[in-house]
Amino acid sequence: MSRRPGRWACGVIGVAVRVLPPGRRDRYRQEFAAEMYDVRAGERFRFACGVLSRAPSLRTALAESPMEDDMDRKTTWWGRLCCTLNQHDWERARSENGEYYRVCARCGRDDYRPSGGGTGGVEFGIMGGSH
Amino acid sequence: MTTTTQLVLTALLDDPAVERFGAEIRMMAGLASGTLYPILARLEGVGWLESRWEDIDARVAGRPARRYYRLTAEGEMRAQDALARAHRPRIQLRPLGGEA
Repeated sequence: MSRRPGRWACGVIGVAVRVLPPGRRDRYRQEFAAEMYDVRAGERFRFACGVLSRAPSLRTALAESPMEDDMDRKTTWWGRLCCTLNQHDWERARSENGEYYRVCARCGRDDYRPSGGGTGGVEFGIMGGSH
Repeated sequence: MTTTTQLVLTALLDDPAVERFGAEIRMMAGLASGTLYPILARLEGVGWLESRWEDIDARVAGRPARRYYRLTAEGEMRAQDALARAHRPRIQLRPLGGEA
């Protein structure tokens, strides 16, 4: 049995993580990935759906206890329109494992993709959003 | 305090010195997936919990590093107090009999 979580479960977790504040996504992406390895293969998708269903609660909980790495996002209607039109205000960010990626200072979208090359199946493949 | 928070605190107080990861706490508390993390985030936010990444080489271990949680000294004290208050009956019943 492969211990690596399946594509669908990873995809659902990826969506759940996108609900969270940008400064916290890396942590929870890794944390959920680690927990998936402790869930039986047949239950991973259900586990991922459970995480997704509670992601708004987690976001609320995180908002109640802001940390330093949370970004201040005061978005005007013009900024929201720009983001809707894929004209993001990109900033460089760095993940906890040292990889650089871009994150929009307005809407929080990022183009983070974990490097998955040649790791023997340990890396957690998230469906990264690109725009 | 919600029942689920009480379950999480009870699990963490089982042995406060031991660091536990999410799946372990979830199983001890008997919670569904996803329910645990908002509670852990709140407890960590108010300083009752501290957490750290497991120090492993993911390639060697064959899995990503886990996040370990443990009650802080203050958290342990407050959790015990909060659970004691939660379990205390709100209406004080007088003992039966003895008085005419």
